[in-house]
Amino acid sequence: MHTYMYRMNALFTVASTALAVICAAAALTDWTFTSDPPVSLQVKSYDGLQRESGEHRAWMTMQLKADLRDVFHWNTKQAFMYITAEFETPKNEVNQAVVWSRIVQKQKDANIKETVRFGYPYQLTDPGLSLHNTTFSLMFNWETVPVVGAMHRDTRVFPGLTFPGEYFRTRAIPKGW
Amino acid sequence: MLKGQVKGLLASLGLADMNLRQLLTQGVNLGLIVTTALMIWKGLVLCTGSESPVVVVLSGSMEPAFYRGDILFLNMGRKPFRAGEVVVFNINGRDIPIVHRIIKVHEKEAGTKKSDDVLILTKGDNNWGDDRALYNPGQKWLHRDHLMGRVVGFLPYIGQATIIMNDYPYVKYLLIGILGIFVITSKE
Repeated sequence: MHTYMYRMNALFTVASTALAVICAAAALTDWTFTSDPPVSLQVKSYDGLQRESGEHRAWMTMQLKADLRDVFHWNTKQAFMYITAEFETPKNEVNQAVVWSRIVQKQKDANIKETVRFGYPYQLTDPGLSLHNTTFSLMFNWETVPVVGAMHRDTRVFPGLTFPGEYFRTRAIPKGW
Repeated sequence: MLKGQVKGLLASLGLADMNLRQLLTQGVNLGLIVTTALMIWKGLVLCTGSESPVVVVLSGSMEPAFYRGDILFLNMGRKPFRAGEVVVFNINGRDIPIVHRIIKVHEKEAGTKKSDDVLILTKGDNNWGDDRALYNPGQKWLHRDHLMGRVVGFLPYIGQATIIMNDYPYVKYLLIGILGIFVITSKE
């Protein structure tokens, strides 16, 4: 009885050790990988700035071109791309909001060219009510989730933009947004 | 009489040929294994700064990144929490931590240590709306103290064992029992 148990035990140990070593090796190769994907992000139009349930809320339309096919390698399960807006107000030194995101699981789908507009549940808001004339930057970020191993995150900053100085709303915002 | 009982018990376990000293040694071995596991866990807590450095994904709200049964490694880190990071948080009065992504951050001073000066809103990648419906009634934001760590590492499938043991407790007792007998009866 013992010999069978010991053999099974040995087999299991070898198998799990081999699997663990392969996983560790795969996870380690991530760190040798670098990519420099081309990304451009431009504000096409400011579509609105309003006061809504005690906060300032802004809408805009952006043009995004990002070719992230470069960031995929054999240990990439998915890339989570997202755009954040960041700004400083008298009330809060750091304000950040995700305004758009996209999950890409296949390399061929990672070439993005699209007109980005803010949609539920993402919204750009400021509880400090001070968006008027405030400078902000847009950031395009991507987080890669591995098949096994560590998560990686990279970012591109597009600084020096300014919110409009008055309340307005154009027809570009669909109802309910 | 007691001696006879012990002998009977030992015989039924196939340990009749062991003397008391050997039995005690095995007991000490078992204790060592348990305390080593505890030390590794507490060491991880110390290194990562997170009260629960390894968690199992229990829901599908972060699919397709994390599925039920995947294992996540957490780290608290010194850096302030920023939009886009996947974090684990605990709502007051509920025991099951939630793994979701930060979508809004408002911070009174950059990197402040005051919990209430940090306002955070989260959302699950697979959920349509943000998490305000998940928070306690009337709660609009998470604060620094709600967060248990950010996700830094990923290991698929292994957590299924935990889920099975949680769903069918007798599997857990059976496994612990078998392992315990192995440790006690193994002769080195």
